[in-house]
Amino acid sequence: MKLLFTAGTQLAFPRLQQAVRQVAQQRPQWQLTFQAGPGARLEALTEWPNVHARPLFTNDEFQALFDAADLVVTHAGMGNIIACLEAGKPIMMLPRRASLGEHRNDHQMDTAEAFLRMYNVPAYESVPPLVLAIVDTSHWPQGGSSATERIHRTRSAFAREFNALLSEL
Amino acid sequence: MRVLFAASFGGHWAQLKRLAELIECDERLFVSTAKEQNRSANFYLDDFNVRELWRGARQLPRAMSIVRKSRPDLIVSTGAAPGLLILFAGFLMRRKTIWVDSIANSRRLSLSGRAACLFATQVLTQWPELATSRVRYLGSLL
Repeated sequence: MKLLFTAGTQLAFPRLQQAVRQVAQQRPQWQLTFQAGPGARLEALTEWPNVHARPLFTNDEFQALFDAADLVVTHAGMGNIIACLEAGKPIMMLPRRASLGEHRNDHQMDTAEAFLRMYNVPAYESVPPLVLAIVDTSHWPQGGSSATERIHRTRSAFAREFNALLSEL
Repeated sequence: MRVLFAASFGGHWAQLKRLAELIECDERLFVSTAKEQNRSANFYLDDFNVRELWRGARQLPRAMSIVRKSRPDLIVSTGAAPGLLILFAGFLMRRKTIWVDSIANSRRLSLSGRAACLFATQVLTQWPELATSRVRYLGSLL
């Protein structure tokens, strides 16, 4: 199995790093890639040969890792949520919390709640249930095309309204 | 119609690219941040957050020069603070401006979005429950 963990491009995310380490320990045969975010301290991961971790990958590198991944595990950042839903890629979220100093506010909790409701994207409040869900592939969400179709309909409607607004301006 | 699209790299940029595909116009120009990772914009600003006012203010001349060079009929931003700065430069230069608040903000408009309400031609949210007399909901990207 190939898993891509990503903390986005703005901030490090130590709790997601803990999840990477625990999954690496429990599933040594899986290949884990981790985009850890700028300023991440990755020394603790070097003992795991099945983990390839960097603070940031370039766009092209990231795209190749994304395409190869069987599962994407991410903070509740929109770039990854959009990319996974469009591609029908299985995704799990660990939203950042302001109370743990992981972001400036709790909008990722709101995002996670909203995308759980709308697209059934699983979100976890803490590392232990996230790791349990990752290591047991029967807990993985199904990817697939239903989200893709819904996105297409939603955007067509938005485009009509937006272009009508432009003609009024 | 020439449109200047502005967003910082990351989730805001992901939304901007999708939005740009939906808009009917003749020419699209892009402003972003993180040049070393993100080569696909025409112009760049340094990233900052909306609370770091001094870092934003310092870049206002660059933002105005981007608007001057690109001569847009309309400026559209999906955030965050660097997009707000371009929108503000556009306001100073009497361009039409539209703020589209990130779909990540499902319970409350972002702080940058609330600032955009002070000067943008139009402010949009992607969540119907956040619409007000000033902030319109016309749909969403997801």
